Order: sequence, then structure tokens, then C-alpha cells
Amino acid sequence: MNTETDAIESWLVDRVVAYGRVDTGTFTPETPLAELGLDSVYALTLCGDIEDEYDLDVDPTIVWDHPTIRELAGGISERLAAA
Amino acid sequence: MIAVDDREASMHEGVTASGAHWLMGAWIEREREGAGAPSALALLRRRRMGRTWARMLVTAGLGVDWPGFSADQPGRKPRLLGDGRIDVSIAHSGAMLLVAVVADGLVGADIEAEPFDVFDRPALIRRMCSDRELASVERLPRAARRRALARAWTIKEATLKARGTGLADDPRTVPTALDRLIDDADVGPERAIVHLTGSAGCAVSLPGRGDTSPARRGRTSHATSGPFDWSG
Repeated sequence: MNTETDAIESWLVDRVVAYGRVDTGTFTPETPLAELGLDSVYALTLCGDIEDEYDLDVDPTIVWDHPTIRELAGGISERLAAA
Repeated sequence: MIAVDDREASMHEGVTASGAHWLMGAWIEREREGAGAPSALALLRRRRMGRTWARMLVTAGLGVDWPGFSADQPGRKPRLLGDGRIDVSIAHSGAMLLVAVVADGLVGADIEAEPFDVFDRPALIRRMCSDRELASVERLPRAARRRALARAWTIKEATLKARGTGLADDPRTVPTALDRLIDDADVGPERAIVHLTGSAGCAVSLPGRGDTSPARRGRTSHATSGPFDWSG
């Protein structure tokens, strides 16, 4: 994992903590997002936050294609590289 | 009455005018209520409980043998094995769980628990509301705006679940007459059940607050003049 992906992963962890749907310290970047209390309304919110942070337009289906924080960070990193 | 161990007192059940059986209540252990966000393990227990409630509704509510769940598909609601006539929808928010089942047609359920903090987030609001809906809520006081948005979201989400598309469809394309969903005096979680049937069209229910009147029902192929302006 490169430095940029590390930073994205850290940012994603911060977002999940900020949403307050799961107790901090009970999950890792490899815990499935579905087990972090991120239901549809938070999946949509996360997409909006990704858009704001990285100027990247993403569909909520990105969390199905990349179902963990680590995979999602990788997916965002790839999209940024391709943009 | 469906018996659900020691949580009976905090549970509500009913049947909508269109025939959807529902069960709503607190899933979380009482000692944990107000103790902050649940652990990842507790969220797994929540998932199991929702499925247990679905099984109870199918067997006790609809009176049919339990067919079992089919394999999960990411981003899709749970499906049952069998001939596909029975449809199930499970929703959760905070400590609250809402489960609905129908013997015919398609069903979607959604619930949002107070205090609706997420509906303060511009990142969400701009991705869930049409321009018309944004105009309806932008001048509202914060509390009224949050509840109106929470109510609108439950209807949008329940509709997308009933369609079986989830967020593969853009919530902004599911119209609600948001200006008519504002109710400052209301308390408690917002919840909605949407039942799509071939004969009755689309029925929207707010379980525990009374079903929508016939005037609020319409065939999915026609827009209605009621507060839920369906287009599909």
C-alpha cells in the first residue's frame, strides 16, 4: 500500500468514527463496512464526503465493489490516479 | 401477538392496509441503550435478530413454512428461497429495528432513529434531495428540517428497497412532496413501509402512525396528487 492509499485509509477510518455508528476500537480497516453500521444513509453520506474531500464523483455502489475500508481506500486511490 | 422473549414490551406489530406484516422495536440490549455506539460484534447480533424477526413474521404472521434465506448479494436486500412470492425487508437505525414481510408483491422498509444528526450533513442532503425538495426544506428551522428529511429518506429508501435496486438507483429520482412531510409536533423514529403490488400499485405506510389513506395510494405508473408523488 502506498502513502496516498495509507492517507485515504486513515481518512476513511476518521469518517467512520465521526459517523458514530460503531464503537471505536472494535473494528479494523479490514472489517466489512456492512458490519460497521454503515447503512444506506451513511453510504450515501460517505460518497458525498469522498466527493468533497477528493473532488471525485462516486456512486454508492463503490462500497459494494470495495467492501472494506482498506479496499475502498485502494479503490479511491485508483480512481484518483486515473482522473 | 408474536412473542419475542423479554423485548415484548418495547415491540410493536401490525398489518398495513395493503397487507404488509411488520414488527418494530428496540433490538439493542437495554443496558446498552444510551451507552454510545455499538461494537462491531453487537452489529452482527443486530443482523441476526432482524433475520429472526423476519422468520417470525413469515411463520406466525403469514402462516407459512419458513423457506430460509437465499445467499446474500452485496447491496441488495435479503431474499427468501422458494417461489419468490414472499418478500422481506429489514431496516435498522440506532437501537431500532423494523421488519416487514408480504405474501404477494414487493416490500421495502426503512427506519431512522432520532436525533437524525446525519440529516444535518450537506454531503447527504445534496445527494438525497431533488432541487424541488431542497427548496422545500432550506428555510426550515433545524429540528423541523431534520425530521422532514428523515421522513423523506425513509420513504425514498423503502421505495428503493421494494424495487430491489437499493442505492443503484439515485434517491433524488424518488420524489416526495417534502413540504407536506413536515410535522414539528412528532416524536420518535421515522419509519416507512412501501408495498408494491400488481393490483393495488404502490402503498406507503407509516407503521404505528396509521396507514396512508386511499388518497395516498396510486398505481406506480401514475403520479398521484397526494403527499407521496410517485413516478415509479
